[in-house]
Amino acid sequence: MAVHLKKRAYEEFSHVIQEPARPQIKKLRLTKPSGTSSTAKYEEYELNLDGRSSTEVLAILMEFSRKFPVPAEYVQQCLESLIKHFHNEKETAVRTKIAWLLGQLCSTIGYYPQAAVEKIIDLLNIEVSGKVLSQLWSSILSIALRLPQSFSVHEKLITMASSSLSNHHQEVRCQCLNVIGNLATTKSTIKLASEKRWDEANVHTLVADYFDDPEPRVRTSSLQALILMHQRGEQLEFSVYEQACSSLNDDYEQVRFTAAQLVWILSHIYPENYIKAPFSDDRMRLIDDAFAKICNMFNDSSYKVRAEAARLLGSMHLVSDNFLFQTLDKKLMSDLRKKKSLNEQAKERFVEEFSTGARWGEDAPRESAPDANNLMNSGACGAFVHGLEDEMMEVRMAAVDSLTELASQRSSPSFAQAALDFLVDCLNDEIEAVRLNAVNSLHKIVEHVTILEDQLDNVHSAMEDAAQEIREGIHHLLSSCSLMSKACLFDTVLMLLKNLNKYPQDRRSIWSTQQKLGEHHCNLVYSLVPQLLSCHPYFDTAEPQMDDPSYIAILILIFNAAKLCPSMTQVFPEHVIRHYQYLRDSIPDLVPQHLKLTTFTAGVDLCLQSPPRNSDINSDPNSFLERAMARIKHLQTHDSATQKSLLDSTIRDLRHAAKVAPSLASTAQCSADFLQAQLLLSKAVDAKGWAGSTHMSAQHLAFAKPAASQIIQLANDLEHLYLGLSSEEIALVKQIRFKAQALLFVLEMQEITHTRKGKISPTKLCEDFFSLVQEMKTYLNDRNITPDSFSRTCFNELLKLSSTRKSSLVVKLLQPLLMNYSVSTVSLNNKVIRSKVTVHEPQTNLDSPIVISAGLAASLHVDITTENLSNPLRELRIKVIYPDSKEQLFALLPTDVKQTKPFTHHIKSKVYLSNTQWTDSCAIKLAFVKVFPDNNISSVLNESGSSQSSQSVGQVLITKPVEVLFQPKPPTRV
Amino acid sequence: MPEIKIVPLGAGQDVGRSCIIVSLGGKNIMLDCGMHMGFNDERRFPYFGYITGGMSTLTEHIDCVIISHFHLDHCGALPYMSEMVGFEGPIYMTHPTKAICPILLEDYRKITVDRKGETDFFTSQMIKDCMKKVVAVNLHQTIHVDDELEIKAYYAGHVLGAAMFYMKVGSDSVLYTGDYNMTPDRHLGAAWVDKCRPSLLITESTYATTIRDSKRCRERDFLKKVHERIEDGGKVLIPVFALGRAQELCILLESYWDRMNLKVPIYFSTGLTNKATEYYKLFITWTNQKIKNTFVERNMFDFKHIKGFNRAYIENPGPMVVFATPGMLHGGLSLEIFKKWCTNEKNMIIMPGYCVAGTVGNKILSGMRKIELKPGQVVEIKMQVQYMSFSAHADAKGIMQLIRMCEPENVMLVHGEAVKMEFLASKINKELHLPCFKPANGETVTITTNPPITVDASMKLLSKHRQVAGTTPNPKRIKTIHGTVLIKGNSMQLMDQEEAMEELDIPKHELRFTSTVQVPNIHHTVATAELMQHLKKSLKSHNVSSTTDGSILIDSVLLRVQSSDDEEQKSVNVLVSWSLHDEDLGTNIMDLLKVGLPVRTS
Repeated sequence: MAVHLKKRAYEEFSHVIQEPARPQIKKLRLTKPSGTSSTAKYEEYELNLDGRSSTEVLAILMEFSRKFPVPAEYVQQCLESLIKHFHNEKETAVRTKIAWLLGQLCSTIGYYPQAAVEKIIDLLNIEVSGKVLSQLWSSILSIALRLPQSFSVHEKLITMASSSLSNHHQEVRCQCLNVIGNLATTKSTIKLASEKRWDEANVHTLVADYFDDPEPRVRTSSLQALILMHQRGEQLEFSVYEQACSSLNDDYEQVRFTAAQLVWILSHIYPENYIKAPFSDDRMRLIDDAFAKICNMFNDSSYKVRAEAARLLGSMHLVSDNFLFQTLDKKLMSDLRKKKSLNEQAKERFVEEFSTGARWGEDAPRESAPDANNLMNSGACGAFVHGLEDEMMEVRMAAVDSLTELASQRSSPSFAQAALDFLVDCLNDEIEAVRLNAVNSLHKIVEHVTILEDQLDNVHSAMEDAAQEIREGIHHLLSSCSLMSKACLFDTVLMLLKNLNKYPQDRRSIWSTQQKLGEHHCNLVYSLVPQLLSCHPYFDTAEPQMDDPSYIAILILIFNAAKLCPSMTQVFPEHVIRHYQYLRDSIPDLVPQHLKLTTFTAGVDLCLQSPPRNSDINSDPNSFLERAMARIKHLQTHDSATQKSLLDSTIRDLRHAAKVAPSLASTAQCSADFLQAQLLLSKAVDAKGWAGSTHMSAQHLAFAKPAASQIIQLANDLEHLYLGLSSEEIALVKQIRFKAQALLFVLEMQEITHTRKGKISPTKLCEDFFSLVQEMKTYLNDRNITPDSFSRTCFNELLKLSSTRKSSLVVKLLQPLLMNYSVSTVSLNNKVIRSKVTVHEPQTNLDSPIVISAGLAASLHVDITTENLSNPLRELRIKVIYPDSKEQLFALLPTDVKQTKPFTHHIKSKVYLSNTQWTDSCAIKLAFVKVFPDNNISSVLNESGSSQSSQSVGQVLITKPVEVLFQPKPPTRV
Repeated sequence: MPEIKIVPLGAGQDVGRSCIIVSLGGKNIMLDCGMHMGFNDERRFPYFGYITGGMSTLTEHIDCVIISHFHLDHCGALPYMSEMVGFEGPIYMTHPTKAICPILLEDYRKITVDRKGETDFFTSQMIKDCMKKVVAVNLHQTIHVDDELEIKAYYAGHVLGAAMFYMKVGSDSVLYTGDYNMTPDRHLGAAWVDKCRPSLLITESTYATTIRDSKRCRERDFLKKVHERIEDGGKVLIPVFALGRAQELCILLESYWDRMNLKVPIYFSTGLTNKATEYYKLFITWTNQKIKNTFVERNMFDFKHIKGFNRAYIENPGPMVVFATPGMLHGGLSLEIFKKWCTNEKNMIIMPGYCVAGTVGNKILSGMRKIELKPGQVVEIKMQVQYMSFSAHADAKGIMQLIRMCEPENVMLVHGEAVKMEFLASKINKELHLPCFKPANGETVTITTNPPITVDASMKLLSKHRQVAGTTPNPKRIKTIHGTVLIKGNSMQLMDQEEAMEELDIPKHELRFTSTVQVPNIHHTVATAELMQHLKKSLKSHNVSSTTDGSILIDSVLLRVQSSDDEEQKSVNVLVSWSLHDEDLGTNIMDLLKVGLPVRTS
């Protein structure tokens, strides 16, 4: 009875809660305006403009424009009153405002401006003021763009715009050109009524005529109109090229800027057309001519134009070699001059009329040059030389990019080799961003070329740069380049070691550089082995320290070279062989595994076998996976005990496979996790446990509750840590978690009924569970996934109960459902990948504590690589767990994250440790967690190992936590 | 025809002692007022007697003086000119120049008077008085010197505060570049000028025959050479002008030392430099992008590795790098150090710029290994001598680039050697098709300009014309205006004929030409119709119509077919009548008619 009463009380209570919880007020607020809108609202938008003075009208219109957006149904009325007023208005400012409003109103979403457009076009005919006209045109353009299908309107507009091009007001002309650019096709022709001499004018030539308009803004608009047409897919005619070229010398920056773009576009449409070369009868390719002309823009007085020119050059891949090479020399090369006869052509490439100024007294004038005509403006020579030493960083950046693109595009490496010098020189730039860009650019072309000794010097000096990014760029560069000689390699190794000494944090990147260097230059390394290992023919030298990073670096270099050049192992001293064994295990990814080394002392070949990693799994990983999964395919046919043992063994196999075969680690682990969750669930819902006595059920409880939590956690892992799961598979995972949550709910309820006390009220639990069910249902419905039998029954049966929500009823319903649970299988193909975090720093190190005065913060450098995380900035958090199990989450900064490959990010960040409570050294855990949005995290039912810290974010742990020793010292008071 | 007259008193086919007198629209302007490094007698200053004739002060003859930058070969004679010869007019220079110029002048005075013991030289007070006459200008600020003359300064690179000056009287203008640099360096930007289209561009041409390699190449070479020497334990001497290149090289070495973590000391001969470097710190707006952007965190002119130099350090053992003045080894500390170090082959001297003929610098660069430093004392030079062109002058390409940028009508080369100028002048002639002058000192160049004649046009005429012109969308078509030019006193007016006649009160007379043409191959009866058709076809742009009395009207030209005398009626006589202002059309029709109608194939 008491129970019954209690339940009623709860029921009533719940009733009371729900009454206010229903957002009735909100509804009222929503309905209130909509109910009275039809009358009140139009008044709100109505424009009473009759009989008012212009200033009043303007004020009204200003007020009106603040009410935007106007509901679609009133737009027409507003438009009409505005157009009516437009005819009567004397003040141009007001008319301009009206014209603007017309455009804005017509672009209201949901309003189709077909009806209004004619009327607005009519306004064009009566308007005389230039300002109003230009506004009208721009409004009309925006309307016309909303009516892409009404060709007749477009046609009419184009004709009108073409005839309005003669308007005296420059803005009208600008807008008309804009209209033509946006609507006209280049093929269309126009009859011009007022023009006596021409019968028809091509739109194209018509627009091009305005390249010479007296007003610079109009000139810009006309150039832009053609660019617009091009962007809309219209074919531009060849004839505009000459006209566009003449605009390159305009007085106004914006015109030159746009003209350069147009010339560039034309050079891409007609690269192989021939045009007449200046001052001679010869003809040259258009792309060459355009290239030369854009090169000449490097002399422009405006840096914006220079930067644009530098940017455009990069994509002109078709340019001839001689023009391209000319960009690297400030003096005109002989083959770009047209001599009168071939005999006159100088033997050397460069005409040495000018001196370089490098030597004193060299600059005495020479005899006058043979009479020649230049194909290229002499100012355009050495465009990239100028660009790379430009005053403005923007230009230098663009020049570096373009030069790199051109160099890597060429099939022959000669240009890349020539460009290399200039890029290497950029490593000396005063601005860091440019240096970094140069490093990255070098990396792009370095595979085409060999680095010479003097260039290497420069590369090396850049390694001393204070910016880590640049140093790593250089390391990366060195690891992929091919070096000229033994001396080059030796210098490089020495510089790398020096670098390592100076910046110990570069260790990892230097080691991998050494690995690549060894692989690429095994023969050069061979000749250097004695020097590198400091072997002496007679004396035994001291054995180096095994934990010396620079010694390890050298060994990495040598071992990787030895892999390809086995004969060098003969000269290895004794200790190197010992160290090899150590390194093979400690840094397996940097050292080759199967070196055959000979020890002198033993006198026999001591073939050091690598650990038994190459088992049969490596041979065909996929088939192994298939075989493992095939075993459990027909699980349903076995009895439950066999099922369990089968699952057990399969999980074990998969886990082992994940360990030894990296290629299928993710899939195997994913499958194993999945099976594990199912196994746990099937164990937890074992009927024996439910049915038994109180004691038994208590025992069962003790097992099932943590099991349920573990399942939830596994499911969370499965859902969030793996990329490549299909939505069905995720739904499956979610349903498993749902089951676990149901189980947890039942268990909690049981506990409450058995012990008569619980942490949370059953009603609350029940509510939470219902929201879970509801959520699950919407989730599955949204994705059109058929729920499994458990979920389906839940949806059907439980949601019916929702009015009463008697928790005991729910439990009664769920229990048998759960007990009927059977394991389902899933077969994953090998496309699943697991999110991974590799921690480079800090390493677990419990020997050397981080010492800091208590109350101050110690910054801990974190250096990790994440794989298979799409956006670490959003998803990854660093969690610091203090010994008192206080937790702290650190978000990353955008500057910390650098993408190295798709789905691979390199992250360097800092976490701040601080404590005032204790002064002993203690281990602090650093964990990397993936966070995901989660609505019902506060619920008990969602309980999973570590996910209660913050609202509406769930977390899953990606790697095992790293432990660091942290020792706050007691503050010393002076 | 208006003329611009230019007389170089110095820097004409020569480097040093820049001083150019320009007469522009009746105004006389002195551009720069420098001294010559190569001379110690009266030849070091420009010969101002040329202007005054030895009779009076300069004030009557010169309207203003413009100083482009603070190098002594551009401003060294300023106190002499203003105080000793006498000039009371305004002197224009930029703010940094005004700040640094007196320091250099004072230093120059000290060396000449205190050390060499010269008398009859300008005093410190004179320098101060001279600086009082200076008007400081900002970049791109137009200064009206008087009602007619205006000047404007443009950024020139070269050294801190260097400027190019644009002078304009009426429609004639001159752009004087001073020294400028078209490639930016470690602390300054590149020269910049808009398309001002001066009548004459006076440009320096120090490196008329040179096109330099990339700047980065030079920097790399320089750093490499210095590094090699000091690693070898040698000493490096870099003679510099106190200001200008010195700061660039300092920044270069400073950042290199920083990057390479070198500990070898770098010294800079102190004295005036310290004071001047303070000004460099202040005038950050005149420097380049990098320094401008970063000076808030760290002012690049706050050197970490560079210390002041003490004479006692000369004998110090071990490697060191020393910057010492003056730049051409013509005296002072740099020469002193040179004497001590030149006998050791481990040491090196780097000459970072130009050396005037006659200086020790010039001699060693020309390859002389035995030099008479003092009369009777010959020294053999064993140290390495390197030349590095860090001189911040534009090279030939830069000069051409500047000419393209400002689009002048004439070019004049100064501040360079005659033969090299010859070479560049021919290049400019050939490539840019511009007349190019290169006067010697004292030689007058006269340039005649074609000033545009301005005419006031009446509104009535223009609006009428606009209506006509407005009908064509083709802006390229040349539009002609028919009107009358009326000259009243000094002003000219262009107006409509009627307006002019009204104003002058002259009755209008119409002049008509009338002529009769015999048109062959046409029958009398159909003549009018066929003519009409033919004319309509061939004169599309005109309005061809027929009148009621059977004649044809083409705009204002009247055509009438007359009865022919020809019996066979194979031709007709056509009377053509046109007024004077339709002369073109009239003659055109006459020609058409003379040819006759095309023969019908039928």
